[in-house]
Amino acid sequence: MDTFNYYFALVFDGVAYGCIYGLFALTFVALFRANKIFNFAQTEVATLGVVLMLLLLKHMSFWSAMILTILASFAFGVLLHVTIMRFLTERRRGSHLSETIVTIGLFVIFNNISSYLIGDETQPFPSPFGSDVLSLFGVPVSKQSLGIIVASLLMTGCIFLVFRFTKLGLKFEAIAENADAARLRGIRVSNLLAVAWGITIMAGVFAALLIAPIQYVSPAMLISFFSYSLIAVVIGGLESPLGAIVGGIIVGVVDNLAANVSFIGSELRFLVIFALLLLVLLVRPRGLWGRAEARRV
Amino acid sequence: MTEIEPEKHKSKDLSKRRVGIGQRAAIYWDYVGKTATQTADQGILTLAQIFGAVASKVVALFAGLMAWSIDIDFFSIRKLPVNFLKMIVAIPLASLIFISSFFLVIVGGTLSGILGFRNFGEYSAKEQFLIWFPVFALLLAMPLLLSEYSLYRLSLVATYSIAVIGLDMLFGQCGIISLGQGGFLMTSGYMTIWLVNGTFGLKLPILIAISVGALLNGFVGLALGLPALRVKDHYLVIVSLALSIVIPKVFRSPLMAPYSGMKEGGLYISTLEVPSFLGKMPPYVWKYLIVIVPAMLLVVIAYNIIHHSQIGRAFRTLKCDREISSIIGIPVVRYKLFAFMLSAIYAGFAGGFFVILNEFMSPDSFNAYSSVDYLVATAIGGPGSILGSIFGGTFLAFQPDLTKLASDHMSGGKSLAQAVYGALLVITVLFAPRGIVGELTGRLKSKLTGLPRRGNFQMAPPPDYDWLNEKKQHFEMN
Repeated sequence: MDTFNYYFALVFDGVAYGCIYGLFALTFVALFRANKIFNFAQTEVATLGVVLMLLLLKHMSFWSAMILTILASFAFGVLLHVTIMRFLTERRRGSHLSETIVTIGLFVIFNNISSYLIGDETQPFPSPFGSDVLSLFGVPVSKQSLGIIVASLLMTGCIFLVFRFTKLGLKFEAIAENADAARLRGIRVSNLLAVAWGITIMAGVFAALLIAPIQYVSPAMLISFFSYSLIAVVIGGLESPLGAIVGGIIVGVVDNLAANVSFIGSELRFLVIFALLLLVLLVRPRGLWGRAEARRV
Repeated sequence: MTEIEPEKHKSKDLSKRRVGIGQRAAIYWDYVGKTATQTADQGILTLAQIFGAVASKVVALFAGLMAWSIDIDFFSIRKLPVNFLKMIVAIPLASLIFISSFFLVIVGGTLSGILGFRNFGEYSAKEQFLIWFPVFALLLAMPLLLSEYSLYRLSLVATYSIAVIGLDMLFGQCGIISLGQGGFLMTSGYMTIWLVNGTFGLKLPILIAISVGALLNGFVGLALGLPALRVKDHYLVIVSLALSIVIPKVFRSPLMAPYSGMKEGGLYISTLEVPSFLGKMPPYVWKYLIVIVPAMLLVVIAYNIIHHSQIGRAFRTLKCDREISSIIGIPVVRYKLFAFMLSAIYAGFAGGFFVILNEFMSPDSFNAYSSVDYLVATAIGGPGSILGSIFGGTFLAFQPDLTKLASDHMSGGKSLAQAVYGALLVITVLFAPRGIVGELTGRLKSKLTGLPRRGNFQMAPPPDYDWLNEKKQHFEMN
């Protein structure tokens, strides 16, 4: 029973981390479907959101600071699209190079702004869930992990409901399918893309706020999440939201199990994920849920 | 295709007009960047132009020789008393340097010829010699001019430039983004140290060790590119990012700790001796030469690959459009893989140079953020041009100084300065997509010649192609 509890706890924590990877991967996929670009600055914007909340906490209570941060991040995503990305994506000339490079530039900018705001030392972050251990059907699980899983699944569910059952979601689907045709049908593509940016940035900040109590706040707190969630995107399939979530959970569980095998350890666990990435690319390049598309060159 | 106004176009018919000095310079300029067909159309260089080109280079060289009596530091120039005895020694030395730089050009060109690229491309050995010679001669004469610290900085510039040129082969030429440069620098750096120290029982001379490390790096690149580049270019970004995160972690792990010197904080190179036949050459000059000579060769080879070979043309076609390249018969995946291998090999050489310069490597030397720096340097300098890459390399080499300057003057200045680099990247991509150097040379060229500037991805029509006239003739004939 003891070993079972041990491994169950490992898997459970892995699922908790995996939900965060999946949430980030979902934001990558959602934006890629709508706008056909990867926002490589996603995790760094999320770090900036955590830093903002840390600064706000000095002046107000936890929940009001959280709500304010979430709202601010939505506005920030809209602002990003309106001020910078719109000019790139709407004059597209057959190449995605400049957009990707700009998001990498934003990565550098936001990373350094958050290091300017809080310095390079790690800082603690208050947890809404507490740190004690709960007994679930006789198996001890940490309240923190349970809270992360529930909250991120709720967020995913909200995003799913919005995209599946509202008119807004239908319009996004139209844009993802064919932006030009959608524009001809009277959909305001640019405005909706701004909303898509707002939603994805908001979801990213939400995920970062969930993980901040475990990870502690520092400018580099999300760098591993950045790569893990991108790998989750590849494993799940480039355009599949479900694949992103499942890929994130696979990555999280494998990573957490590998870290506790004695000969792999905490440094080589990334090598296991790297091998997994190469394996998926070799065996099933389009990912688990990816659409088989016409052969591209 | 926009119409070209006949008025403007007529002025380009250089054979019918008297040309002034500016136009003459423009012809020379145009010649330097011209393709084979255009060269054939407009005939060869006149004697006067060759004379002008040579004369300007000779003047530049003499200026360099004069500067020998001045100790130029990068930030402060102070005059020393002219020493005539030194001058007498310097002149035969300088001629020796001239000859050796000539051989460098020949060797570089021939090497690229042997490697399967058309020998010297559109330019003969003599013409390339005219281009490279003054630069190389000045670089080889630098130990006479500069202090130890400045030489170190100059070789650092060369090292960064090689790494950026490697990334430019991929990003500037083919339009594929990679974040793996930091990881590649680290693998080849460690391989060089192991081969020089004989950690695994094999001890090699330093230059061979660097080359072996770089070639092994190329195979690492091949192994990674094979799964990633078959699908979409986005995958390569992800795989290369993962590489530059995983490599430092692997070297930090307990498995590799005995070989990576993790416990001592890093691995030191054991021997870096000046060979006995060089006599009493100071070690820092030897270090400089051992970096700068291979770096110059690499630049010549990169130039020949990019501008004068089928490979370079294929790369540029790939950047325009993958589908069209495949339709006209370019094996797309093969060329993408080749570009990634080349980029890994160049990064490998740069990693070896780093080890020579710092005599030290640790798992903290490079990380994912430093890989981003290389991409920033490439995009700012000018994707698709060697000069732009060298500008980017210089930027990288002096970036710590600028950052330190900022952090000395205000609190938190370090991160603010780095945020400004990111902002610089965004601004460059938005307003000058060809990078700073590309944009400046483009403007200068169009000012001199009166030709329209080339956009980022479009090709201009051949400068002497008369669209209107041809259409008129077509109608008159029918």
